[in-house]
Amino acid sequence: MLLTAEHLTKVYRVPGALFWQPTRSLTALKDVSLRIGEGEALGIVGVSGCGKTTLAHLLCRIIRPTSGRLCYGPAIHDPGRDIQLISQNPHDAFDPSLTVGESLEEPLRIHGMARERQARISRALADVRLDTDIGLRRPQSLSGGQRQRAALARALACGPKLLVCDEPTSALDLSIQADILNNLAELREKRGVALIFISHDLDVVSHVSDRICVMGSGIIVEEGKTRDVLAHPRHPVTRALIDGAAQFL
Amino acid sequence: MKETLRVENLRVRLPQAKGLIWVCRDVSFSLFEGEILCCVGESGCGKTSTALALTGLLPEHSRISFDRLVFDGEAARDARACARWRGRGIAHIFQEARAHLDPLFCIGAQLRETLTQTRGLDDQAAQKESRRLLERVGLKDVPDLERFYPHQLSGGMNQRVLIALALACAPRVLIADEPTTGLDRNLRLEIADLIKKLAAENGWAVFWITHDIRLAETIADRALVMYAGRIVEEGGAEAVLKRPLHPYTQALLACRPGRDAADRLPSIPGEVPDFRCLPSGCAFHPRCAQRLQECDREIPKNTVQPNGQGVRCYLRRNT
Repeated sequence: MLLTAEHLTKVYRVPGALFWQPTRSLTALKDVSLRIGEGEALGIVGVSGCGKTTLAHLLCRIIRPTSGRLCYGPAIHDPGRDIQLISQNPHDAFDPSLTVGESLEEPLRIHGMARERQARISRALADVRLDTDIGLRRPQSLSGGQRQRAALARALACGPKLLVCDEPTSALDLSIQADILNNLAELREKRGVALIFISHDLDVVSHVSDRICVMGSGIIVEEGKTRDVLAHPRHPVTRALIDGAAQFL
Repeated sequence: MKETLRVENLRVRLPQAKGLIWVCRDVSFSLFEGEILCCVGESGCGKTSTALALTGLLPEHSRISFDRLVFDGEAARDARACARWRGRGIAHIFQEARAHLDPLFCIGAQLRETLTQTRGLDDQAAQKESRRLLERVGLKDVPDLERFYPHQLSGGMNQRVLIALALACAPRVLIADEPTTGLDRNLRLEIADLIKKLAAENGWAVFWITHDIRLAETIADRALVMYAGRIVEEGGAEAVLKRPLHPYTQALLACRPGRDAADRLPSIPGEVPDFRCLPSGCAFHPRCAQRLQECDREIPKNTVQPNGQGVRCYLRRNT
């Protein structure tokens, strides 16, 4: 097993809209447990606000859980390096004051891989089919698809064992989406990277993943093999998601 | 069906660091009462520039020209007419609803201001009408909700408020620029249903911009596909989106992931061309798998097919 999440709960403190209004608690995630094996692709689906992004941030240790814990398998030596996040908006993923190359080098320096940075960056850029010249450009001069591929290259340069993709294609056009999905499938095959793919688009998730978790109001309501869950949904949330998608078909 | 808006050969140039660049050329279409026309295409193909030109919202120093622009029987003399029609004639709703609402005023105040400015209602009538409109777009607990600020509402609720603002102007044409992008699928469908219902009830002619082909299939009566600032295919939604004739539309539709799709999805090689250096001839020819020798020489003319579908491609010239 690569990663096991046990009983994760996240409660946010939300201040009132105006300063005299009281702070309230918002439970974004309640007792969520999941596991992912090496090289596996796990899809997480659910409507907006059901806690998908909170879960992604917890798995990548960007935020701490209120309770529960993450257990790492023997393949994960340094969770900060071995688990990488690809976020939804490629436009916000880069520091506009740095070149793409500098942005790609930054995590390598942080994780003590500065010496091999050129080789790692070149390989990662080749894996996502970008020219090495792109390293000299500023992120604002790249298209949305190039920027998302560069974000993917930055995550890959660290040699991760697990990629957590939080709606990586929802801001992209269909043709670029297809490119990124093909890229992820190739990387899984070539590098054996495990994927957690989060999306509200059932078609995209079902294309990418072997196993699927359906989330609703901060809990996992249904879990199983992607084909089985989509063919025989048992929970009303899953059925509603499939019905919503079916109206588009 | 009554023609509400007619656009003939709209051309738009936008200011860039090194001068003006063409972002729309020879764009012609008509909008009919109660009908939804979906405009699809990849980012940067000129969809939004076309829409902004029609409401006079393009950046300063942009250049708009056209052969003919007729709204509700009134022909425009120049591009300034578009700005005059905006609001009561042509309403515009945008992708990020929150970014287009004033963060300093509660939503009730924003609606009341629109009503007093565009329809000349007094405060009391505007209050009553604003509540009616908020209920009309499916919002609940309106007396409480109208005291909320945009940041206190969800994405879907803000989009409904934006639709209520458009409704307040009682327009004849609604331009919806990706109003459901960023919302989850069920919410997307709810907003699409709401606009479709309002269009049918109020006789709106809707110009709906989207890159979501599934959504376009669900809501559109007619569809047009844009590439590199030109319309490459247009016609009935069923024909264009189910049986496309232009290689670009065919390639775009093939990229959709399906539950039974193959392991590798087809994608369109290359990138959308930069407006500053468009390829010669048909702008799609460097990415086209079916290109002919003449494709890089001259821009193909729009050929109307027997089913009324218009296609700009040499492959369809003799049919």
